[in-house]
Amino acid sequence: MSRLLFLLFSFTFVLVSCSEKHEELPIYGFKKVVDGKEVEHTIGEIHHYNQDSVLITNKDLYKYVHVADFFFMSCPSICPRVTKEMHRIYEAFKDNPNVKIVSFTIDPKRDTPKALKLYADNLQVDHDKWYFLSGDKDKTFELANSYFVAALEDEESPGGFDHSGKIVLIDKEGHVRAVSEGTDPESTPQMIKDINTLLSSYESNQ
Amino acid sequence: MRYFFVIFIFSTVVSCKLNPYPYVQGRNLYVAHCQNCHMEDGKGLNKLIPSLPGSQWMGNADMVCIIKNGMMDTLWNGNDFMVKEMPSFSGLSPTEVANIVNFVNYEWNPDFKEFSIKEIQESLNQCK
Repeated sequence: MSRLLFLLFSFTFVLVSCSEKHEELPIYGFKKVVDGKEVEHTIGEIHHYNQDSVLITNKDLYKYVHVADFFFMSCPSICPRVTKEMHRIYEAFKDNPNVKIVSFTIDPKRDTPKALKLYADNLQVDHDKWYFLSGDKDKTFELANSYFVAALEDEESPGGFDHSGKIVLIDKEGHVRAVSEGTDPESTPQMIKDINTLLSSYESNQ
Repeated sequence: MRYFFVIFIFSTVVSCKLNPYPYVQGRNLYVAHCQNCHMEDGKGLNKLIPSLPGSQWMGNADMVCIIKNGMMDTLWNGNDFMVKEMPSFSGLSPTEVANIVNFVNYEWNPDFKEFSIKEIQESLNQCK
């Protein structure tokens, strides 16, 4: 009897582990109909400068999968904690050429490329791996919404901006594929796993 | 067996009462005001946010002035330049500041010595 149970158990285990291998990440958001065709939600237009004052667009980022957050340098509340979790993700993928880490500032007036460069220097990260992007403020708010991150100007919030600390994974087609809570260190390992899942889906398609 | 349980629970309760955590208010204030930047382990974030363990302000009552006035363009642990400013917490009472300083030192200063509220008050009065 116990043998039978053992067999049954191992069989289930094999089945479960096999099905996990083909796990696919969801595509977030509602589908839209464009020219009679259903299309998935994609992120908005990126026309931002990185900390080396190089223009970065969607096309540049779609060569990679990218992990993004929205922050501002003088943020007195949740940002440093989110940046710490972004840094954990950076550490996990810093040698993987298929991943970029991207932080958009929602305070471009103060967070100029020059200031962001110093910020990245002090964070001691590779400027070519982790982009700190600044661009038009209102367009960045719109962009944040397309990443499903809430960001708006609010005088009553600490630092003058209200925003959520979400960390978002985007695939090479601009789809939102995973979201984690940047303020919760326990949600970071799942994000790292999701990035690996997304990367392996590209490998198996090749 | 039943006696064992009673003794076990009794001794747990007694030992907890005998060794309460000494800086509960300091810890709560740290979580509320400091932890977002200096993090749970006090180590900050690379050169962006300074680490409290090992810093020159440990064991130094002048730490209260930084808490009270904040700090711009920080020079910390030698010449490392931080972009981030430390905000001021001038709304905290001397007792609250003392509790934070004692909590931080208790946690991360190997040569821990408690500051009295009087010492903290004197240092606060001398802040520029």
